[in-house]
Amino acid sequence: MGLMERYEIVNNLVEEIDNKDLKTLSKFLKARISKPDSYVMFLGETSSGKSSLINGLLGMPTLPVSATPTTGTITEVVLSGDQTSYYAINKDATMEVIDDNLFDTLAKKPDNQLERLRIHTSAKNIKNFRFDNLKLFDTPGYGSLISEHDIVLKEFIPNSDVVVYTVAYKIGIQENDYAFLAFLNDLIREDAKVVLVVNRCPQNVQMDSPRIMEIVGYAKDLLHSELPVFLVPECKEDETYGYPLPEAKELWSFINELINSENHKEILNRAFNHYVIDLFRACENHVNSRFAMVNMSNEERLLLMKDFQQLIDSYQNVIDDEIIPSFAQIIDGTMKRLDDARNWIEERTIDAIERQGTSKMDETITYVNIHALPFATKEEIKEVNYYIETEVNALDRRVLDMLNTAIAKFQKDVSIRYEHHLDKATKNIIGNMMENGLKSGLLKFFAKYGGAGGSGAGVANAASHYLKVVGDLFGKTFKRETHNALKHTLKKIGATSVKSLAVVAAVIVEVLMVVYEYARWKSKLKKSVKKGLDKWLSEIKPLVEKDLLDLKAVNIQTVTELIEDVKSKMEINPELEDAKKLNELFTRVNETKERLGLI
Amino acid sequence: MILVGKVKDILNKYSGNALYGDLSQKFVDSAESPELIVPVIGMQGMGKSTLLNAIIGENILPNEADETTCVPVEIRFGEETRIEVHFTSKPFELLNEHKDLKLYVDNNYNPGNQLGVSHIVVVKKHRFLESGLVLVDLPGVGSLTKNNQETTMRYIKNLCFAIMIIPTVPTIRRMEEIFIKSVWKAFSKVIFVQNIFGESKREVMESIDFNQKVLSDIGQQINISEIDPIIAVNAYDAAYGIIHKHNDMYEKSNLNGLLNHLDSYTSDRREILLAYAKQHIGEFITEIKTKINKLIEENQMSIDELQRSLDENELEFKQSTEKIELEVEELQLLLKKTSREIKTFSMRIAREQKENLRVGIYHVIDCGVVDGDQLTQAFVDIQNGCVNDAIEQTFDKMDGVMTEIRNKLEEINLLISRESEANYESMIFNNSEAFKFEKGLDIGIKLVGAGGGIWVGAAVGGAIGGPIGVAVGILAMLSVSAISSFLGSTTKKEIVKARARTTKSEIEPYIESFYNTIRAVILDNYKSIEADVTNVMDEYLNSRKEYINSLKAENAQKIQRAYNETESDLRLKELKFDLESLKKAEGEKLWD
Repeated sequence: MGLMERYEIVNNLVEEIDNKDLKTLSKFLKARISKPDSYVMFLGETSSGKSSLINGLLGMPTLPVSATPTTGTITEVVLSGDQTSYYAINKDATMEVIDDNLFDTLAKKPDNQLERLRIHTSAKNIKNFRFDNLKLFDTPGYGSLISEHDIVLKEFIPNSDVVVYTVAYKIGIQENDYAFLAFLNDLIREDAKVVLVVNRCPQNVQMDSPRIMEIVGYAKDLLHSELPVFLVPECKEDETYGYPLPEAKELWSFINELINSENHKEILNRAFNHYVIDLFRACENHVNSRFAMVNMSNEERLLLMKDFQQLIDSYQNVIDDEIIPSFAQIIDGTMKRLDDARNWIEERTIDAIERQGTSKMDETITYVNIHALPFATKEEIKEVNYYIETEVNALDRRVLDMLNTAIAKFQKDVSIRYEHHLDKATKNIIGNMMENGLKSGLLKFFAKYGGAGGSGAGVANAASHYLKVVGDLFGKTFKRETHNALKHTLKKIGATSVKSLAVVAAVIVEVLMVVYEYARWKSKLKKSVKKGLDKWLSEIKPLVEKDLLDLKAVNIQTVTELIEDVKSKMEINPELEDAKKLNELFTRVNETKERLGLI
Repeated sequence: MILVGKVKDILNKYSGNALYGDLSQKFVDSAESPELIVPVIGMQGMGKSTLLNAIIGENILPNEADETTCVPVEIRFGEETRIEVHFTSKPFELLNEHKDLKLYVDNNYNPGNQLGVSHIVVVKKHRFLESGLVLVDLPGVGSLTKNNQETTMRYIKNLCFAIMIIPTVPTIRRMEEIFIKSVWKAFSKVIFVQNIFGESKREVMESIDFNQKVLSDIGQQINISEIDPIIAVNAYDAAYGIIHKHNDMYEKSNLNGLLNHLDSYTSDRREILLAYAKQHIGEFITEIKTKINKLIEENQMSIDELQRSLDENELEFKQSTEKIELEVEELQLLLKKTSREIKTFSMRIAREQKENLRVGIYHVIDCGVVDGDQLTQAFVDIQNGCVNDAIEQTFDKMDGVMTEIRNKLEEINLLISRESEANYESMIFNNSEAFKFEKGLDIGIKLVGAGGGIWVGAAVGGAIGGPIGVAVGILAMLSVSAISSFLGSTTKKEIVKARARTTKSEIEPYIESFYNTIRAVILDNYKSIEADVTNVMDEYLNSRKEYINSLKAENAQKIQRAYNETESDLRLKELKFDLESLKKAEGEKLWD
């Protein structure tokens, strides 16, 4: 059975159920299946020519470029439809249509509200390639991604099919590239492809030029894999538009082959198949809950409501008595550990300075900046992360225990109460009601991305999301959600702390600017290290705290969703139900299940 | 205490090489003077020697050698204080001055244990050792050399109980977690002692709280549910207090808390061991009774009947052996498959870490650090980081591998125990095999009978014994030995001494040698474990084949004897007499 056919079977059921949420869900799914997106992410330092590459593909300077850093925000280029239109997507998930002037302004100088920009433009102007439903992401440099565009790390990169990493020939691999490439491997999907573009090469430079070999060598070592390399030559301004429009034919044809490959389609197909099943599970859950409520006397229903309320109360207790106070403690402990880390780093760095002879001022400053400081910092931050991981894991275990106890109690109460009253099927349905149905799974998922008209819901998420839904027991769901969030937080703290080292470096380099006597530079340098580390500490503390607060929010959110799920079941009103119709629906669910081969 | 009457002789008479009689006497002996060998383990700089000195109440172990101890030091009870230095290939020597101890235990004086010291025994009259407690100071994992690794591993392999010292500030760190994990897996019980160096009360409390969380995290990962609370001890204060007679200081140090805890394990040991001895001797007697009954039965058969019965037994045992052989072949296939897997894995990890090392050091060079010392320091730092990452990845991999092989071993074990239930000859064979192994335990280090860990493990938990038990024990060493070799292999080579400019190509050989080391460490560790497991299984199968041959000879002899009726009658009488003696001893008492 084909994917579309399976979808239609489930959609028929959705039509019959006639529930607004389920219908919306189905509509989104259909749109996705009929027009699967592919994501190409452009990463690289500022002014490495990412926007120009995209303009080159489009054959016109659609994205603003200039000699100074131009891209201040994420721009999503969607190749679909016939017309070109511009949008601003805000942090509150609203989307506005804007004109090209405002687009240019925002691209250079984004306002506080903006999350990203989007252009819809026709793929028809692109010769040679089939790029329908391709999404290209143009991004600002590494620094601003870490601090301001968390979403790129959290959602876009993990969902990308292709990551194009650009390095300008003249600039080569710099500190930031070094940090980003080392980090990239942790973020991308296993089947995603990273390609390297060495941009703005002088004419006639070949793969075997020492410069290219150096850049490629770094990238290979950092990514631990062979990767396709494309050299894009420096290109003159286009006569019509006055901007460079590099062709980069080989690059685009590589991307074209990749996203139109059978393998890629297969991956998409598999992910969508999971979605279709998710959609069916949502229907099943919905009908079952209604069915159970109707097949109960008023008295029984009142008692069940009481159980529901108890369950909600225990969930709330988990939040109030466990998650909130524990996070306060973890944040406190983390801050203390950061203080300790700062002192350790200082001690180790000063030690490194002491070991040097007084004649080696320049070398020592470089050594401290390039190795001693960043290395000590990485090591210490790993330990801080280890602390957070241990504490959060311990918390998650406690929460899990509490949740499981609450559920077990609910199921026991229900089974005792209805022992003699209800038939087995209904009892099972009530007992299993608490299985965190799709309300918090697929629906939430689409509401967040598809629903807001945004993107990001790629296939990678689909796969991991599927796991989450089939796991479906509270425990598993809770653990996976919080675990993923924890992993993300730890990565981000690592990145933040290293990036923030730039402030220390800046302070230290000041020492270089002034000529000191031999006798004095050491004490001056040590002072600078102290001063720099103080700055570093005051910069990362609030960032780490914010990350931990976000993590706390995810923990709370996950439990809150369980509460919402119970509440939605309490809202079912049996008086509005047509018992005969419901019985028919119930039969239809089972028929569909059989047709999908799920029994 | 001595076994009654002729029990010992009778048991020996009917148990062939297994010598159940001698073994039984040994059980009784060791219950009389129970010994509990407890290794003290800790990573570098955690105050292990200080703690041991505090326990013995004298500064015997060199404190500064904490990081460089290279041979195991046993501390056991005796009437007079003395120090024995034992060597691998010559008789032990007595030390006159305990300050000379460092000449043998300190890596600086005895580099790579070139003196060939197997272990050192410190004898001390101390009330806490009187109950049979033997403490062993093991070389820190970081300073294991090829020469002492074996002895150390033997301690770990043969014991079930350990004290592990963990830090207060900073709390347990990532690398320590891996170390703890691997050691913990090798012991059935670990007492965690947190050494305090004068941190504030609040710090100590917070630290214990966190460390306890780490331990329960680790416990969960390796399926240990029962975790004792951490015991906090101020070893320095305890040592100072006891040596300089500051009673207050000693009391506050909580060393007594630790000793009392240990005491609770030693005090009822005599009873446990006696019960254990009784149980085992009982099993021996039952087995020998079955054997005698069988012999009586055979004695009364006609020659034809006897021939048939003996042939049948022989055939059954042969068939059973073939079945086990098939299983062992499967195990060998699994080991081979795993070996290929580990080969690929080791290459991958080594390559990745090589790339990390290269990119890291190139980065430093490109940014202009060209001074020899600084470049060397950077290289060592980055290399250590890469080694740590490799350890983490390897540990996880080895863990998976171990589980798979262990499962297969358990299958074989199940087959063997079922076989023993169903087949007489198999039961006789497997029982003697099991004890052959346990007798082998005291080879190498002085593990007197029931003093060793596996005994207690078997008595208390009923762990897998016999040859499979050995194989499983070997397996448990996989990660410990891997980690210790890793840490031992970190090169501290000077890259290029005081050269103004070091080019990348000059560094390449070091990076290449790093790659080879990492790869070899992973592969060699697996290979040695694979070889050990294979040997144990081969030996077991060989014993079975030898048993078949001896069975044939014995059976031929039985037939021969059956023709001689006078001898046959005499023999029947003897069998009946022995049987009665055993029954009598069983009903009254086994020993005086």
